[in-house]
Amino acid sequence: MATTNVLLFVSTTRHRYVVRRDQIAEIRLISSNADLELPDTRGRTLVCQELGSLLDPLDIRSNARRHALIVATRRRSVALLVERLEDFVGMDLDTVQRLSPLLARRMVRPWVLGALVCDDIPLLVLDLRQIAQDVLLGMHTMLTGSNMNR
Amino acid sequence: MSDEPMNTEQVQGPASYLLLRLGNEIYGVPGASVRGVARWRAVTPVPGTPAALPGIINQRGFVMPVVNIHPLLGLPESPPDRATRYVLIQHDAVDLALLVDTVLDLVELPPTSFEALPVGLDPQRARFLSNLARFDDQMLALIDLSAIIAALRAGD
Repeated sequence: MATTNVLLFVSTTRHRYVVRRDQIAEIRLISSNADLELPDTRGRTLVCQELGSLLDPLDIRSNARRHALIVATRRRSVALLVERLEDFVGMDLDTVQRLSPLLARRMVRPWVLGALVCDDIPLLVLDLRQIAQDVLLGMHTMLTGSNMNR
Repeated sequence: MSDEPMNTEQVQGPASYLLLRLGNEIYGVPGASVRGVARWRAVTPVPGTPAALPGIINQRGFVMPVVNIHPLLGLPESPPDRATRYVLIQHDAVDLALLVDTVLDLVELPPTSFEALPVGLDPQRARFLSNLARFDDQMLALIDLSAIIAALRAGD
């Protein structure tokens, strides 16, 4: 039986993405850097990373006011910063299409769970848990030279 | 003409080919693998993929990978314009949208029109071509879709 999950539509300066709400421990409005200095729910300092520039080096933030999608891992919590939260939608995960193996095999890091067609445009559904783990391991710099960098 | 053997798969009888333009050159893809042609629209980029796989498009609710063969063939890329198209391909159990500069025509090529690839052809380009073919006094290069898919799978 299909299970319904809450998906969150978010925007960076250049792109829209979809993320799973159940991968996010906390969502925090960031008005200044002081908001990022507050610890996570377990009292640990946050590791902060702009989501836009992580996925596309040309996707530079244009707004000081952002939202932090805080993803908890065993060791630390990672705050992935986006410009806007657009919508929460309850959706059957079966509607998320897997990427073609042709693409999925060639991704430098497995950060994409699939794609969701919204207003005729396919949006990437991100695996925030994997991204957060890679940020902690310092593996997020491996995208240099990829498509998003052109 | 070279002494290279021709690809016999392509020359047993008349075969349909979709003619298309990449840069200033005319190429053909096997008509049997073509499922349709779609107008260009922006690609949703996928992070961490090579230039030949720039991202995905939605084709009637079905998310398809876009394949840009310009870099594979060493051809210059031009920005998309009104003539830019996606050729929707199903080949070797793979669906893909091939980004091309222009779609020209679907034609039947008789076996007598096929010629082997010249020996002096750049090997990087030759590996993605099956044959040459003469059509209306023009020389066409016929794309080997299996070779392209194999290269994309292998990360060559």
